[in-house]
Amino acid sequence: MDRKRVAGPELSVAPLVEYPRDHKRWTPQDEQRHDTKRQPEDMRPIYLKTGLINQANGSAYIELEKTKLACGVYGPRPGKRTGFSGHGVLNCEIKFATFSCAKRRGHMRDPQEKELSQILSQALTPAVRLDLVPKSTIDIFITVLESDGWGSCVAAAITAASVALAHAGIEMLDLVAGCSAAYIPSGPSIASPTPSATDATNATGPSLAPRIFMDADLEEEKYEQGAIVLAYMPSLNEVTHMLQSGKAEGSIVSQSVEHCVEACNKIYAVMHHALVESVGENK
Amino acid sequence: MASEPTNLAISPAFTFSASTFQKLHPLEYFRKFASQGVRPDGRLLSSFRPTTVHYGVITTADGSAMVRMGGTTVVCGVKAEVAEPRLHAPDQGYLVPNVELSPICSSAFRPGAPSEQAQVVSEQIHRVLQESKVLDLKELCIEEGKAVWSLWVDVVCVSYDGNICDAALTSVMAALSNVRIRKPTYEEGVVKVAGVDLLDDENSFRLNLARTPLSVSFALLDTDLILLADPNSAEESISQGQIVITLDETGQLCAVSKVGAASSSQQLLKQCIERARERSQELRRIMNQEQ
Amino acid sequence: MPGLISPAERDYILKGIECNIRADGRQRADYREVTLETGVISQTSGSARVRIAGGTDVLVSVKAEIGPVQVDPETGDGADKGQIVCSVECAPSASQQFEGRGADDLNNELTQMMTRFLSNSTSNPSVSSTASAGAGGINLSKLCIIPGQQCWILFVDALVLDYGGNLVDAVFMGARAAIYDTRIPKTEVQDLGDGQFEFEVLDDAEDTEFVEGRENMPICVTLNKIGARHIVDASPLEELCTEARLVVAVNRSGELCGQQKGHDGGIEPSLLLEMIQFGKTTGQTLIKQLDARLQEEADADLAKRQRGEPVHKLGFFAQ
Repeated sequence: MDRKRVAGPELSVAPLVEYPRDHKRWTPQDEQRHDTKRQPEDMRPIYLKTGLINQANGSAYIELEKTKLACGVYGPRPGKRTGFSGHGVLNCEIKFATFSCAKRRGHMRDPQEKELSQILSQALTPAVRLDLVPKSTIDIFITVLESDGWGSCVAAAITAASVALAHAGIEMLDLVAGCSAAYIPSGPSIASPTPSATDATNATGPSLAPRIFMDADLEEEKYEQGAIVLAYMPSLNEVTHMLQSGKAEGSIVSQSVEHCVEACNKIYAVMHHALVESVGENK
Repeated sequence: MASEPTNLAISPAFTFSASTFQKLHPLEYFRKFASQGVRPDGRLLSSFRPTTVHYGVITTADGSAMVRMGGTTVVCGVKAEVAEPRLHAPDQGYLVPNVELSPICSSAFRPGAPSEQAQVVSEQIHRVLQESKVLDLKELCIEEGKAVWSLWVDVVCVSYDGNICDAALTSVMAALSNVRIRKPTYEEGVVKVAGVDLLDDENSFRLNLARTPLSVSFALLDTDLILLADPNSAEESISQGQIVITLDETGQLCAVSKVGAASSSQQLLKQCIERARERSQELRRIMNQEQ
Repeated sequence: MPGLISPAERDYILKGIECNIRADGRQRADYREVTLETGVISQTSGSARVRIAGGTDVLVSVKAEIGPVQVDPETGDGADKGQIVCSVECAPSASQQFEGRGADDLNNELTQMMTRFLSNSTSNPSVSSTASAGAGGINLSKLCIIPGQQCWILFVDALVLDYGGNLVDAVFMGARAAIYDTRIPKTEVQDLGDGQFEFEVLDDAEDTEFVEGRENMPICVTLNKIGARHIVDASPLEELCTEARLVVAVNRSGELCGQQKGHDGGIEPSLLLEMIQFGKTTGQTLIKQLDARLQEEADADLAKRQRGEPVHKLGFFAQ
């Protein structure tokens, strides 16, 4: 039992949700996206601001409509690890607030958050000049306040973290922009609830090529057949991370990589703008 | 002690900038300001930082609020889940407040289990909610003895700059007033509600809050008998004590706490309560403005 | 697993790879010899052991147990689906680096990767995707016993016994073979009317079935980018020189079932796409060889059974 927090009931569950029979939910068969204002290749507008956390060396807050997260950078400060290292260590920790998802999350870091932390540090390390800060740790803490789509949340975390690093004045080779996309089947193949696996393998013919939705939200993710998160350094033209899950043809993957790279270039402009703005404020 | 830094400053070899002085002798630095009746951030000793309250900022929560007091930013989200009631209170739900002071908000906090300060603030809010009977827990009953609502009230501190007590309690009260619970149907051990996107006045209810306690904190500088309203984190670190006055909207005291070694006279306490009355009215005005 | 590498060793490996000849004589695209064995643990529903010449040794077991279905409260999905629960653990004896809590991060990384690539859920664990057969290939609907109540849960546990580089490929090869080897008892469901059901697990060893969709499970090909080139099946020293790693999961029909970059370096987009393509073709060849081997083993067992001879596995400790 957790003695350091106010205790609630040992077990609590979310209530079952009941929709009236005639309720119309968004499905991929609909002409428009779930967010009707957007085209498949459109991202949600990004609000990015630095310097929200005044105790941190650098910080950034990012918002993609409902997706909201804050990032604080502390360091370089003396590392915890005792062994000598000529390179600094980039330590990322991401935490989803308990109320950030449809389902309530625990206070403790779960395995998924631990893995995500590792992914973030892998995505950001290529950009940071860790050789300039021996024996030190740079801590990046991210709190997800609200998540509307897992992929977009990871991508936003990467974007915000690299802006926060720059805001903290840590030397970097480039900014890292993160972008996500989901492959959503457009055909009626998913309408029948339980087609056998063999059907599904046959069903990936050219006629049912999935559509690529950039920056998918939660409702769209429910129908996704696969998804990709890409981290990219625009000036150096280097992919620093790629995470693809779900099944897809090679052509879809290469297409979405290209789309994501393109979108990262756009995000880069937003990041750039946010940083220039922060310099203006300091003057 | 007091004269030493001044002597150093006179000698040309030891001249240093104001920010260095602040780091080396935070107390002396502060006293230089306090002697002029102002604080380093430009406030008067008795003034509070600008405060804003925003409601319903988190759509995944059943109720939420964001409160900013100067550099302190907290977000409170309430999640309603279904649980079995306690054996001795079969018709009462749960109201579980917790404050998270995660390492993101200040370098003073480390990852891992909640710090002592987080535990203290959580407990303080828990007791205020419980002992002031803010919410009749019977309201949270779904089916007596079978199922009740459990309201998980979680406060996340995004940016820490002192006075977490006031910010957290304000955000909790604001979030609770923002809560909309979907009316449940209970059938054979299963609780069902309507979808979030179908939320309306018909199928949901708001909480009946009996009162809205809000706290007002002061920091005490023992040696100088200086009282600082709404201390920021730099002021907290040099203060020796803290007085927290919690009042409801009728001006009745809900809780008074004084921690730290600072001795305070009756006079001082009265002064605090007086100031707290004014401030809590102001806070309430800010809260109502936004709603 | 050595933790450090000298500049001279690094240089040697780098230049070798540039000339397409590696320290052990392989070319960039060559795998080491893989030994695959199934049915090595009698207490499990299915098991496999994979060894890569040079040290890596992975044991994977699958245990089928009955448990409650997991239903998503928001969408009601998952009521008619079984589950796959993955876990990867590196034995502390496998490498000096794994002692104490040293393997925690690696265990978690591999476990999450396996969960992502094998189970049907996509990237988002809190959302069970409505797309029926996910990347894992396994038909989870067939694992359901009574919709909304009971289902089979496949616990896939991989234990890394020895480390000699290229863990990811070995773990996934093992997992695929172990699930391929898995037999689940048949169940008989009785309708008691009134929405009540009862089921019975048939005890007969002959009355078992294979996991449907097992042939569609993916394997992984790990590509290590060293210098401007990429290699497969890296040795421990080569892994230390790796700037960036790309794991490509691919199934028999050549569909990509997941990719994940690792290590602290970047990859150019054009090279990335080239690596994905390369991983795909390599994976397809590899999967054909593995399938042939699995089939061969199954045929041999069947022949022995038909002749009435006892089926002896090589056994766990046989080399």
